[in-house]
Amino acid sequence: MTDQELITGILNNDKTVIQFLVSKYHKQVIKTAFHLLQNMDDAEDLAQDVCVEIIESAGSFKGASSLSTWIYRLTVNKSLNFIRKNKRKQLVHQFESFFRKGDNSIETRVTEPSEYDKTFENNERRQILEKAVNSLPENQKTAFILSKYEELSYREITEIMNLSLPSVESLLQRAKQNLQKKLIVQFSEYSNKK
Amino acid sequence: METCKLLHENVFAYVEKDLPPVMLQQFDKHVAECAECAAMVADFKSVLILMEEQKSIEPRPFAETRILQGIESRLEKRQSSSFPVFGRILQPALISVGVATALSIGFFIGSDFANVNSQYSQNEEITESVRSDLNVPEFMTDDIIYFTE
Repeated sequence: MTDQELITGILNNDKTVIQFLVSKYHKQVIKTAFHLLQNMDDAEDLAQDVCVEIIESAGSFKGASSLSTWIYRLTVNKSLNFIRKNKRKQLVHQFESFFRKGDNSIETRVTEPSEYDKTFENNERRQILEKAVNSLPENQKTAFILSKYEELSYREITEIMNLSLPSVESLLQRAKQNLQKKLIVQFSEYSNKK
Repeated sequence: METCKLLHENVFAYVEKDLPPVMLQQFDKHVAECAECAAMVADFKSVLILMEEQKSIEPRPFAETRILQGIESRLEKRQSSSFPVFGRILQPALISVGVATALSIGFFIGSDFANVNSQYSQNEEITESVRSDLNVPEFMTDDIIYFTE
């Protein structure tokens, strides 16, 4: 089914087409939202919002970019709005996930000690990476996630973020530099603690 | 020390092998000799592995079904609450007409009642003047009932 056929089906309120839309794009939306929000419940809720928005504003899709790019743009915009509105809620989630990870590490104690050490260390490293990515400025974080986690081309990122190619290149360069600095500091703090 | 500093500035690009071959060789050699830089490179290599894991994250089971159900119920809710003709125009219009009618009836009854009262007091005044002119004792006019139209 082409993008245009999908849009026409949505405008005609064709339930089969809507099911096809969700089936085709829900993974993309949930993954992108999860990388930006760091919470699967919120990512699923946001996926619903994005799908409803697609259905309600399908008429405004002009086909200047691909449907996938348009959906990425909706996802990124909604995720960033969500982060802005829910900064306090996010703090609570991070606090909860910190303790949940603590519980997981207790469960893994039944495994081999070396394996436990590895899992624990991986969890620690994952937290360090998440924290470093989350502390990046909004634009840098978005460009970094779209490039590194979603593996999108620079051209696609320019369309999603509505920026020029040099701006995206510079954003990604700065994101890497900032991440590198933050990770060096965090890893040295972590190895000092050990 | 010079190479340590240079590697610190380019460690991400080094682990991603996104550097000119000459620089990559220089860093390879340095990492083999410097324990501190080797540890840092190991940390960044683990970051690359974690980033690979992040790419392969999958939605939870039945996420698609939950999303579809959510969309359906939200669209149904919106449809049921969006009757613009009745909800936004007809309903307030009917309420306004009702209030206006109630007010008019009130005014009409009120004005009629005022007429009755003024007629009643006029009759009372006439009786009083006749009674005083004819010197009729007051107790004889106490039980007069004034009829109005």
